[in-house]
Amino acid sequence: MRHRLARRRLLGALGAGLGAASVPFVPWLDARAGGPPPRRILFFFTSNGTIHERWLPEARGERLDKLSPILAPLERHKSRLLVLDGLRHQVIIEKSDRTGHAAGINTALTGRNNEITDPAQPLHSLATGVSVDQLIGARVGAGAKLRSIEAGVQVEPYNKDYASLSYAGPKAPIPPESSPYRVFDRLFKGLRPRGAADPEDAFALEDRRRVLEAVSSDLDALRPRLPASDRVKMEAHLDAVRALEHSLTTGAGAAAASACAKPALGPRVHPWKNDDIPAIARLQTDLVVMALACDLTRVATIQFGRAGAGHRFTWLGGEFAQDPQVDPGSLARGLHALAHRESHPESRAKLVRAHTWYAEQLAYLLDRLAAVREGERTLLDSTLVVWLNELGTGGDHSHERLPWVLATGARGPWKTGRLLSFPGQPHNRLLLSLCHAMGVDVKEFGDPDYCKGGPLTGLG
Amino acid sequence: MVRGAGRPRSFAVVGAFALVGVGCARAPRQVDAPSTPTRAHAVRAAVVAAPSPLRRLSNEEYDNSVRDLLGDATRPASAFPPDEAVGGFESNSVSPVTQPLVERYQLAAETLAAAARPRLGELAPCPPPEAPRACAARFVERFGRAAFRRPLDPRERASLSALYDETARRRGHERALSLVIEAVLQSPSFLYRAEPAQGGGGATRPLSGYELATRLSYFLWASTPDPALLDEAASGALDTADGVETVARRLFADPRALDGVRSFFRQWLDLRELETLSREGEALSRFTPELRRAMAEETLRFGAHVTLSGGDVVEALLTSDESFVDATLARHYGVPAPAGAGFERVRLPSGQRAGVLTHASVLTVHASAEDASPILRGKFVRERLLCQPVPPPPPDAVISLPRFDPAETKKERFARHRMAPACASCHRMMDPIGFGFEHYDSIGAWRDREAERAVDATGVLGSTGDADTAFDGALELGRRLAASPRVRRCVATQWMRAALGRTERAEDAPSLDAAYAAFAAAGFDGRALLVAIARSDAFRHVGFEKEAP
Repeated sequence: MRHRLARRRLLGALGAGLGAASVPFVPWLDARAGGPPPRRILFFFTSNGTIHERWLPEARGERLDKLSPILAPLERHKSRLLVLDGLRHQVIIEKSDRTGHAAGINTALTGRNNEITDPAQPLHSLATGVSVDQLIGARVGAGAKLRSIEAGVQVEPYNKDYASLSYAGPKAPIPPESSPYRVFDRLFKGLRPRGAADPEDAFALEDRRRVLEAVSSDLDALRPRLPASDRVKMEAHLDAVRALEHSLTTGAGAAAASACAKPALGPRVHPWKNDDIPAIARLQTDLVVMALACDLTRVATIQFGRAGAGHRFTWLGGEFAQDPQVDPGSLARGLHALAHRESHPESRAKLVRAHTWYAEQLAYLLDRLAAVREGERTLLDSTLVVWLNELGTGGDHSHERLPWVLATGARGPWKTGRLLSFPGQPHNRLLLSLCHAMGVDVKEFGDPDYCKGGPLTGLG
Repeated sequence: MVRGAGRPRSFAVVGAFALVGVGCARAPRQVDAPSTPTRAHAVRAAVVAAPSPLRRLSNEEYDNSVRDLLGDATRPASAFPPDEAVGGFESNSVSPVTQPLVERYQLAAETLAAAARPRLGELAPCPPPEAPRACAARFVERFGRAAFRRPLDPRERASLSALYDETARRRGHERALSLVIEAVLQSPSFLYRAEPAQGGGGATRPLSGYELATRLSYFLWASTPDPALLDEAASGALDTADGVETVARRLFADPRALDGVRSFFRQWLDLRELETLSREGEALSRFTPELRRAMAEETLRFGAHVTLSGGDVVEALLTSDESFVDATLARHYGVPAPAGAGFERVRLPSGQRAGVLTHASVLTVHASAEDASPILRGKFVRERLLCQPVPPPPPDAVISLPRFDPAETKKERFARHRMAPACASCHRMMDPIGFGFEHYDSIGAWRDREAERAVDATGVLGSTGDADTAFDGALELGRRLAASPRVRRCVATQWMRAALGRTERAEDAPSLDAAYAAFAAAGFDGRALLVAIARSDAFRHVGFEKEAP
């Protein structure tokens, strides 16, 4: 019943034309002269921890001074950074009997412990709660075409517990989409500039709406007949169908910037070819920035690899193609193998170069956001960018001193250009801070045991 | 002769603790303590079945189902995200769907409906002077029943008819039929295998004929029931264990039974990974797409053959010196290429290969990108053949890779795993078995020497309860495993997991005992095992957790 009502409300919100036999409105892709830009949040994930001695920037008091080797590419955005040192995955440290890469990615945005879902394969486990991006997306992004977009750079979807930063709810991972073409379709397919309508669009839209209406009524009917544990699945399915229905009829949002246009896809990349990683990263970044510029979504993730990614940084030099130092029988490859050989100088030097390359990609993302005008300001001014990692250091699977870096422009909620230290503080407190910064007023996030003290103090 | 063969024995204790794991640090368990003989003859108590979480069609099941429903063999689910396995078998029973997947379902349904457009006359025949609306009503009824695997209920009938009527007015008859197809293919009654609760839960109930027909066809065909099976469900033919057996034997005779058995082997032996894994180093150029495909095909054919052709399936699986190769695989194995273009039955090179443990597919899937992996191969044997799950590394495991020193032998390098006590307890369960596979490289090619040394393929099989031994090479390992009741019991358990889409629970022990006893009594004939599983209480019933009021 709750669902039927919710759907009716939704249809009402979409416009009276939809329910009737008349032609529904077609979603447009165009700039609007909207009110104040909404707040956006963008998660930028890289894996295998960091090397703190090469990561920690210098500061005078709190003020960022000389950036570290790894953060050096961010020099031009230094005044926009908030480097956080000392946070830890307390819930994993205290409650989990599994502490590797998967535990890290599962807890990073959920603030919760993992649960083994298959007793025959105790290596695999999933997070037990919603992730912060999804919670924010459901609140802040409810009117946008998509509540969130998750773009991956070669995130193998096998073993979802290594692949998923985002969770729609307990044990409901959302692995990112690693094909830029599919990301493009999810965002831009079917959208036309205003005035370029094709009548068939409207008919096709009406067809889809009616089919989904029939599907929803089947989900509604089946749900109460199932045991409680399965009713949850029907509710999640219904929610996804409703979100799809909404996205089909929704184009650029009220805050679309004048730069909003269908992005060009450029030369074809192969989503699973290692050497294409730089090109894929560019493409995914450009798509996500345009999604924000068109106000198609307000919550996004760009994820470089799964937890413990084994990408080989061949584009940085031939020496990355092979790891003569690594036993050929070892299961760790590429970046993952380097992280597990951190104590060896050659591996360590390569690791620093790899993490520095990630900082370059973040700098490019910030450049792109800063290049989109929104009235007097830029897209970066209304976007909170969060660089996170599943571990503190990869080699020993440490969940301490997580290398979080925040970046935001003038409209951001916090004073930037600073290095802040929160030794031993649970990262749940930062997740709470992110919620509050995005206007989601919750008292706790994730495991309540690690929210004591509320959001981090001293960010503002 | 295998111990225990031909003599029904009960291994209830194994069923109860099989999932506790090998325990690593703990003492090896005694595995085949038979339960008291009186139990089997006791007065039959009411059946108690374990709950079965709602399963969503696997990608393979989706593809096979739309093939059988619409004649569409384009396999659209290959674009879906990977399936979620429980107990190694794809059941999609844990995580709920998310919006990206729902979008894929929509796209697949639209593509399938569009592809069916030219064949609507055949799918929904409408000879004049019949009114299109009457033909459509018939199509809704027939297609709905086939796709939902039961007759439509009045609400569904009304909903699909309304969709047809409204669309026919706006867009015409054909478009309206297309939308009916789209709606049915996105309906939860197609996508999920619902076995609804009755009343307040907390009880066991027998499955309805239609529910049982659905379990049977996805178990034995990896696809949707055909109209004949639904008719049998309606007639009450599945109401008794004997009835189920009769129907199961009919299903075996159908070519689709090959799909079902191949599906089991693909999942049990992790062969799905052959589609995506990559190789590095020297093996990269040899690991061609043709070889990848040929590897999988060999094992799937072999598995189907030994399961469906009678005889001791465990013995054949682990020791048979015959298999199926095409020219590509023949080159890889160093045997004469078959005369024809396809696969033919051949004798494997003597002393090098016998049984699935020596198939290139299994060896490749359980290897690292550049070399054989004693860890993965040992873990595979431990988990999939001995049913002893290996726990994940302990929280305090310091995982720092040592510098690779080619002067050390592999056993010296891997001995490090077993120096730290925290690592040793589990690696002892894997590595010593895995060493037995050292004659096969990262793509399962035979080698006598590695890094200028003669290969040392001696290994130790331990903590099995009934098959502990030192051995030399995978052929001897295969023979040892084939003689182990624990392995035979595990094979039955794996099939049971595939049939139920979940790992076994205490309630399943009597069913597993009965299935194993029947399997053994039939000389370990694979068909007898499948029939016995289909007859079992666990297969024919569903239980529900008690719900908080």
